[in-house]
Amino acid sequence: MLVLTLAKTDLATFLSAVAEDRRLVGPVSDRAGTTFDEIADPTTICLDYRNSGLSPKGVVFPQRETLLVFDAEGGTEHRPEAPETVLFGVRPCDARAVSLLDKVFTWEGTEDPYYLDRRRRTTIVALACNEPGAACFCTSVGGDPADETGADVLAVDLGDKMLLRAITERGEELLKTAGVGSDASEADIQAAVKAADAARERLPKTPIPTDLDGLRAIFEDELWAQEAMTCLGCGACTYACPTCHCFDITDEAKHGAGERVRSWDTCAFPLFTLHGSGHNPRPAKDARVRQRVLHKFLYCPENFDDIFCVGCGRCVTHCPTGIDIRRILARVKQRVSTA
Amino acid sequence: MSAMSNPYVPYPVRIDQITIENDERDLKTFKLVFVDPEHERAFAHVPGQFAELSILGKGECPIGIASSPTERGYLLFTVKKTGVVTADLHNSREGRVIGVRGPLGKAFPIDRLKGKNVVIVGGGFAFTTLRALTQYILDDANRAGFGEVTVIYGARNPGELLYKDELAAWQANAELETHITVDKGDDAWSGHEGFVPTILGEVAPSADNALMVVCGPPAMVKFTLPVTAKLGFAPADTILSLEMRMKCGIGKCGRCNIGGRYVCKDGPVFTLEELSALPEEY
Repeated sequence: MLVLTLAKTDLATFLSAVAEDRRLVGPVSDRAGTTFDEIADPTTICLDYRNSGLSPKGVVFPQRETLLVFDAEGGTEHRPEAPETVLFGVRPCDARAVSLLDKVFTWEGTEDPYYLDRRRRTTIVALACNEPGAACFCTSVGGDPADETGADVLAVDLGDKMLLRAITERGEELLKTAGVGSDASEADIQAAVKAADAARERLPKTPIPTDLDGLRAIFEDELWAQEAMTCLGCGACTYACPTCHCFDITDEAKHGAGERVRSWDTCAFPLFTLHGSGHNPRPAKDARVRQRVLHKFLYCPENFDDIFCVGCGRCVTHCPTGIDIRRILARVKQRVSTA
Repeated sequence: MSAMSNPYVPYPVRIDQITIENDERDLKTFKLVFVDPEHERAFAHVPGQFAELSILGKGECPIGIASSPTERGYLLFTVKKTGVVTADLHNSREGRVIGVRGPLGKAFPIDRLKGKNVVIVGGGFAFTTLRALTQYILDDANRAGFGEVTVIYGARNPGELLYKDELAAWQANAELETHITVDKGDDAWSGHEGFVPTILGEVAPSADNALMVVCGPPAMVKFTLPVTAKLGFAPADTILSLEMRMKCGIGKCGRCNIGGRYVCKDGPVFTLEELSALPEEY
């Protein structure tokens, strides 16, 4: 596969070429930090960030999207007119998260057409991490600061230049059509390896419970109630999470005309599971905190052979009461091993 | 709309008939006819499956399919008036066009039931998919494939029993044994009086070469399972159907999880053995 070196001074040219017949989405600075947005002027891209406040999952799985439109006469499906999109400069953990979402939305042959309409037109350029964030723990959950999973191209920042490594055919195609940059030298490739090694060393190792039988056995453990004590049920953890994918479907209508909409939902809300009868299978916070942790570390490994946590640390930094999934996981692991 | 390629798009169906089922008038059976006959062919369901009833502008609700696929030309759904969608549905007149999305979920294990005696135990308005199963077995083309059929069905009082005319016909039908019970009868009631688990214990169907299918409100199911076990039905031979809040119905939206299983696609039908392996979160 193609490996290019691109001088930083040529980055805007590269991005302009890429954006010629595609939508360019990348990290930009806003008042809240770094966020992913459509980029009209390539010089505004901000690649000097640790991680974005929100994950870029909305590019393939929008926070709110229309499924059907209708009026009094009836309805029609509303498929997204998703443009060919380059998602440039996402952290490897977020690219990996998209590969996990792929599994959910194509599971057992049941394809989600709305997700796939967007996903099939998205090329992902991941940006390796030289400076891990304070809450990052990707290597503990199978990730890596230079992880290629889910990425079509892996970019590495080498100071005054970037290394661009094609991972997929799609990524190679992107690099070729841009037509900027030159074949990478062995020295540049080695510099990228060194950068990843250095970043990897700085990432903490968090204990991760991987004994699925053990996890099943601690369903009734008292630690859930203890960890849930300070949970406000705000759902910020799920909103920020790049792999959380639970959604709601609601109708928004006026005088019989409107849209059927899907929007992100969260297992942190009691209404999420409330039956019409009034019965609620997860009536208390401890059951809901447990659901979020076990969904990622037990149920998804059961169903997809993958932990649905990429170690981005967003739930840690976003929780208004300081609930730290790393602490929960450490406690869970201890309980599992002593149970 | 192309419902066949997009699982979120409902098939248009016309409400052909509305039957008020109970004295409280909050249970109605809707007979739905596909607007496009092609859709009826595509909608090939098996008893035990459910569908999302869809009212544009109000939303969707998952409801068990009360008709058997052997009843051709229409679908039946018995719906309790509970929330926004079901209330709107209850306000419908015959002729209204609504939507149906499905069939969804895992059905009763017809292949396993074949050649076996079948004990069908139901309570309240959870009897709907059990009606579908009973009608399926009673169909002339299918009846010989099954052994003896025993139906035990109960409701709070005679006025709350579903499908009253059909129950009377079943009681007169030699092809099955039907026991109808109510918690408390009225002056006109001459049938069983007592809770479903009690009647099941009295009828005491044999577990030899038999499977048990149970659907009912949680309290009924809870007190029925010990009786089932006492009669000798193994957990793998005790079949249950669950209810859960749902949205997508196709194993994506994460709402109906019980542990790693999804009630919408791995259920709603589970054996007691399968359920015992799951956390008690339903």
